[in-house]
Amino acid sequence: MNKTSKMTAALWTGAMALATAQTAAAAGDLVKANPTAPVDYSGTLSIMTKFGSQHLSPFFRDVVDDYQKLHPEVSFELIQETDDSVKGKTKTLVATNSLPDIFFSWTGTWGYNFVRGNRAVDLTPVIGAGTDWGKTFTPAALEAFVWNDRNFGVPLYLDAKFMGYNKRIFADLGIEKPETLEQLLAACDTISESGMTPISFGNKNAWPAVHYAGQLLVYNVPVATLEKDFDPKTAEFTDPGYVTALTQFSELQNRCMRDAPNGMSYQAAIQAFSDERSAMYYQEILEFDGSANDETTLKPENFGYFILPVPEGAKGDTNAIEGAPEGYMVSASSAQIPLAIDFLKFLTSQEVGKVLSASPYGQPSAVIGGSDPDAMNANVVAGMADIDSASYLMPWLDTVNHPRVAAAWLAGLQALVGGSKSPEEVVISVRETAEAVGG
Amino acid sequence: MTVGTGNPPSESALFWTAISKSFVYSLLVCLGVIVLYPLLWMAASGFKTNTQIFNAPFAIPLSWSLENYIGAWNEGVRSFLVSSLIVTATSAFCTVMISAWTAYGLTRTRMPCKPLITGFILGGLMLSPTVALIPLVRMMQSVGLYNTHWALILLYTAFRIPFTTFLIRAYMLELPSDLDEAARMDGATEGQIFWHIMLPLCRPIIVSSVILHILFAWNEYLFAMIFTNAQEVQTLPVGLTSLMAKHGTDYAQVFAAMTISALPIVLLFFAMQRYFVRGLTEGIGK
Repeated sequence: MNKTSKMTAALWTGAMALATAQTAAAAGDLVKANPTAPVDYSGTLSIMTKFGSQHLSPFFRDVVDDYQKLHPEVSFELIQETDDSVKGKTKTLVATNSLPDIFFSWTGTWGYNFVRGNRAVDLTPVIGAGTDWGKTFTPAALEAFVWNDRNFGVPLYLDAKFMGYNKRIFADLGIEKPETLEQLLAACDTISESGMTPISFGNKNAWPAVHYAGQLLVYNVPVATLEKDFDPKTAEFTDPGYVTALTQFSELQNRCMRDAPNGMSYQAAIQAFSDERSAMYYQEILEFDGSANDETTLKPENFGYFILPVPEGAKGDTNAIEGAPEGYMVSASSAQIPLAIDFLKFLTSQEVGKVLSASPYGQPSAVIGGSDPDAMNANVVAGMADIDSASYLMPWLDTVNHPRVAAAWLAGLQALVGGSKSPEEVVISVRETAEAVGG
Repeated sequence: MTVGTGNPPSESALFWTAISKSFVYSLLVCLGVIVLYPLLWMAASGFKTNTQIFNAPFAIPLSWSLENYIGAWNEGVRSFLVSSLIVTATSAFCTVMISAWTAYGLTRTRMPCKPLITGFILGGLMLSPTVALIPLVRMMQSVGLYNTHWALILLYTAFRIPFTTFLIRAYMLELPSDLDEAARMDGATEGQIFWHIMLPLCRPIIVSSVILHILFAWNEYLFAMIFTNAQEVQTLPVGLTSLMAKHGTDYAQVFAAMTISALPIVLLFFAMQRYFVRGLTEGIGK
């Protein structure tokens, strides 16, 4: 999910839902993929990606070139957007009934809006669990694009949250990699005594706190309860694990973080980690390559990571990791659905996955065997293994919830970090918002 | 004529004059620093590294290598700059010419229902671009202009005509009617009066309008983001966002790209500021 402003994402989600509703009449019935439909290798296939940045944009251009070598009669219209612009562009294209044949989607509410408006092709017959293509994906990634027991998306890469740490600083201070949250807090005390910031934390954009909360919530609240509470119609937010998780987060902030996090950007926080001014930074696996490389003060050999440790006595799923895949859908109004599916199969082949997972892209492929450990950062390889073995992928709170509930989480947690709300008050505000939304 | 024979100013008067002058100069210097410092800071940051930008944001760069500027130029800024120049120059020309003609018709001719027509045109100022976005996309797609420079040129022209007409009309109302009446009596056509008399007289407000339009079109983001897909037609505001990666943004290169994109507009403003100030102060009164 976008790093620069997840609050904006939530707002855009609401706007897109409105646009979808406004044009629902234009959308037809549910369109199902036909696995036996012949593929016509001609015409133009339009694709909207989220790889518009200079760093990532060559990936799709190269894949398209490779596909055209196999099928010279097929041409492509590539619409490469960035994290921010893809939201506005998608909203407009949905409202004007001109979605490209293949388009980017997040999981959670964002993706569900396409399903609800019958904008996405039901891909269950070709990618559902048990199909040949479906078996090639990490199950958790495939599952994230299932709504109403049907598959609507093709996961391309995985993302998850880990605590990056500076091995040299830990070794110098005689600190072991923490196994429990209590050990992490004790490690923070030791690091603080040395004069260094234990964990750099920039919460100006509000979503970084949501990431901490998400992982602690899945440790403290049973998954079934969490999933029930994701839906405003069934949400209760009465499980005591919510307050427990937020209390643990407050304790983490008090003992491990410094300054005024709400006034610091996440870029400044990760830079502090890369400059060895802090010992840890809670980051996405996609950030491993950027946190420590040949140009940063923190060198790759001194970079290590661990999953945010489980608190003692946690009552939730202690083998879960917070994260979500990102992927692509096929437009229900596409005239070339078989060709679009054929291209997506090519895009999610092991060979292409290896290119995507390796430098300079560093996006862990959602395809089993879609990575070449020899060509990758060892920490990314290990992180991907952790994701594969996770019992549950806890979705980002600000994308899985209804936009208004997501906004309540963002605002509430920012207030918690700023000290103007207690954990109980944050949970109450989220509960009240969910009740208002659920009617 | 009388010659002043008064006493020379007292020491006290000289003192207070010096104090007031010092105060005025200090104020102007402060204002100059407030305006120029962010620009210089942006340009200087283009010579730094990410580490320097975050750790010593206000320090002088350690080296003055043009590496970031060259990198930004090669990363697509060149293409974005060309698109911005095409869209801005063409839309500025169209906007100002159409608006000047409109203002001429509204101020110097005996057109019926002038207040109604003026109100209709100026009513365009109240139309929010965001509200019109979806029908405009459909329209551009249906006429095959979506994802072309022409889409932006048409939109920028259409949305700026009301404001530009408002400016030029106000300026033209100030001009004496004797000149064009004399020309009319000499047998000049409306076209000749417009091109040879009114337009030269309106030079300050025309220049102001051009600069204002350039400032708008050069920095416009929403339309540019929605109506262009291909890198070849994207303008600078959209192109610059593509330099901002989700992870591992090279901020020094972004600052360099921002400096390159701001440079033409800053130079233009300094070169034309005399006309800009004069045109606005004389034209804005009505």
